[in-house]
Amino acid sequence: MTEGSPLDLSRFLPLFFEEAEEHLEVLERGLMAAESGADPRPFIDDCFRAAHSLKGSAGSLGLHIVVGHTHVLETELDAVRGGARPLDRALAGHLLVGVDLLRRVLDSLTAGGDGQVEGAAEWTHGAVSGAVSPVEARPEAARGGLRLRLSTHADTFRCGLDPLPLLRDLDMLAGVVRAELAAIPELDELDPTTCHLTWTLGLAESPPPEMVDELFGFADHLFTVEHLPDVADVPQAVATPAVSVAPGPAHVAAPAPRPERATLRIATEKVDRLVDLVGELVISQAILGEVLHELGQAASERVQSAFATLERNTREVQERAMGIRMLPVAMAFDRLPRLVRDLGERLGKRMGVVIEGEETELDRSVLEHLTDPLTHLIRNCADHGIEPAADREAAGKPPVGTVLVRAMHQGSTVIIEVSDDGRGLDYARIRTRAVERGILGAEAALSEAETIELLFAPGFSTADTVSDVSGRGVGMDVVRHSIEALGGRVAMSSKLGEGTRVRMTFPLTLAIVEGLCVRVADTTYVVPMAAITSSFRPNPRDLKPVLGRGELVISQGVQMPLVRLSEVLSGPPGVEDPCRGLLVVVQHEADQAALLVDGVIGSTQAVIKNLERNFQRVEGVMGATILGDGRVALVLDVAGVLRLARRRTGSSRVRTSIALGAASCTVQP
Amino acid sequence: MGKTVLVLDDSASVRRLVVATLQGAGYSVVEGEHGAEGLAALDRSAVDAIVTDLNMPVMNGLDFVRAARRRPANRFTPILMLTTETGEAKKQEGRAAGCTGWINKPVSPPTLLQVLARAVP
Repeated sequence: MTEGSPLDLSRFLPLFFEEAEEHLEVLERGLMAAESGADPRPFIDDCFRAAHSLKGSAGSLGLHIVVGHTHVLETELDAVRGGARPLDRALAGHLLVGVDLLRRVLDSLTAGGDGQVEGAAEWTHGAVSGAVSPVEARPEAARGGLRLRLSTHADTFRCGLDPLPLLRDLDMLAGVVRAELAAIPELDELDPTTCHLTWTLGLAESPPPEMVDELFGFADHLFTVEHLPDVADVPQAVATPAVSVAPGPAHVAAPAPRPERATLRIATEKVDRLVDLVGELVISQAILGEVLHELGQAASERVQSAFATLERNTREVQERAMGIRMLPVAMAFDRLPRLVRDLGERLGKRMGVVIEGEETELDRSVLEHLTDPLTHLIRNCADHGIEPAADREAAGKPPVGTVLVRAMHQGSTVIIEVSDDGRGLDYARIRTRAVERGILGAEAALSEAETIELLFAPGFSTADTVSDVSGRGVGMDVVRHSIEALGGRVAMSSKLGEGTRVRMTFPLTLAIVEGLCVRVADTTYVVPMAAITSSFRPNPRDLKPVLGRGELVISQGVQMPLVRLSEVLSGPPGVEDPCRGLLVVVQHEADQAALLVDGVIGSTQAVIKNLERNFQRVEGVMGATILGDGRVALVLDVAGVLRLARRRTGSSRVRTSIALGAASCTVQP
Repeated sequence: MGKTVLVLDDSASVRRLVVATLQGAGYSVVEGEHGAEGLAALDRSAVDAIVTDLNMPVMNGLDFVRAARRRPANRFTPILMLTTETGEAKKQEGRAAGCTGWINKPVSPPTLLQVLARAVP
């Protein structure tokens, strides 16, 4: 059996809060009917069930404060259900007060608070003035803070009983469990099959005797339960266990008897420093490898084989160190159901969210910055994508719209997609509006991909009329910016009437890039492998100089600009004639270009060093890395290089027809 | 996960009730009419828990528990005894034999499942 760690539990909280809201509504409806004098019988079962399941799920999530509260509701409703007492106005009113308090407790927990709400504890203990206290009927239960000593018989283990599940159940009753350790012998005298355990339980919510019997009765030959004297003896922390048992904002941390999974909190800087050092280690190892390679036969076989081991170990250390930074995307996804629910409520639309691949891991720094773009995208889906239920039904779709959020691995990248089954993009109308706003020349004929580019343009984001019609575009430039700042890419696709999909692609880690080392004159650049589609040596007939637009080259029937790296990055010039060099075709979104280089050196795992932090931001360059031979090389940012190239050659047609500034939208003639 | 429970009772009707309850809750069941059949079953199958009657022909419940506890594989297997007699003396005897817990007859399916869930973590 696996232990639920605090992390695992907190993942279920959003769902729990949603559920709780439904249960509260049921309770409210029934109790209000009773308070208004209606016959409560039809509601009682529903109310009881709502209280009961709320208590159950709160218990399994370790929300003791909710358990204590719902237990009172459940007990009273059970008594009503069994005919032991009538649900009169006074009782209904009192229970309603309890429901309101419970709602405030839940609100506090939802907001990350500790769930402490003024008056809640008093209500639970039946001390609310003037109310018909439901728990007065059982005075010993009303006081709270019952203490029990639970001793196990030495034979407990030998009789095949593991007391842990029982303690967990007790814990659900808001119990504080403290082990009495005095009776445990020294290690060398310890017989592991003999049970030495004795616990003191402090129960805020004193369980009725039959509940204790229910818990221990089946094995009462192995347990002795003693009622300890007065509550006054109980230390303060035990008397109000809901406060002391569960630290942490959401009260989900495991209390004492639950063995913690061995985890360690480490300051982020320490991990980053470690990852940095591992990067250095990889470089040193690569340098050593280079030296050995040069020595060739001169290096003895023993050195060679020792080096092979070092290489293997280094790689593993590197992978492990990177792994420390990885976290499941669930951390960013978990609050989405609530977000979608709230949006649906606010917009008066019916929608649900489906989440897939939440266990996919992503670099922590990416994950931390994913919340805003995700929220933005989901808001777009809810606001613009998903239609009102009536429209959906008219279109033959299910009335409830779906937002699908999924994460998956693809090679060395992680893809996160947000899609909806809403109305989709109306390309024609986006174009019309763009022309009306003077953003687009009337004669411009844009492809669908180019039309989508319009939505990513900064000018478009504030154009309300367009975004209302288009159904997209609200802040898409902001989304693209934040994703690209994280080293990722964004692409959008859509079909009218069927829905829209936004796909974000992130590198698995930001610290290492799989790259191709290329040479231009005596400078080495690293081109990220993920951006490379092919490389070739052109024939003269593939080349086409175009007046005012630089050079074009045809690769596999596709025409694309030829980019001289030396020119865009102001480095030393390489080969003049493309037919004597090599063209590396790179792609970013819909853009393609052929980078002219003198030659290819080989592939590398480039550990990226931030240039911005150590020098300054250089457009077209992602960072620097140290190569195996110890020299420094620049790692290209392909999107940036393409932007630079476009600016240099100035694709005149795009310039005049779409005044988009930085929009990365080229139009092939 | 499908846990396996060995059920021993000489009464076919009680056995059927217990078996149906357990299977309904997702347990796999191995069954027998008395202790000796139970020991034979333990030779054949690995079980996660045992539910046994006390008074059975051939080999009664307590003798079965003692024998089962001597088998290394079942030293710590939870064994629940179905019984109508829950006097103090009987419980002492049960503890000495190695019983994990008691379930009062007549068997109530919810109680059976509840106790089993507590005894088999």
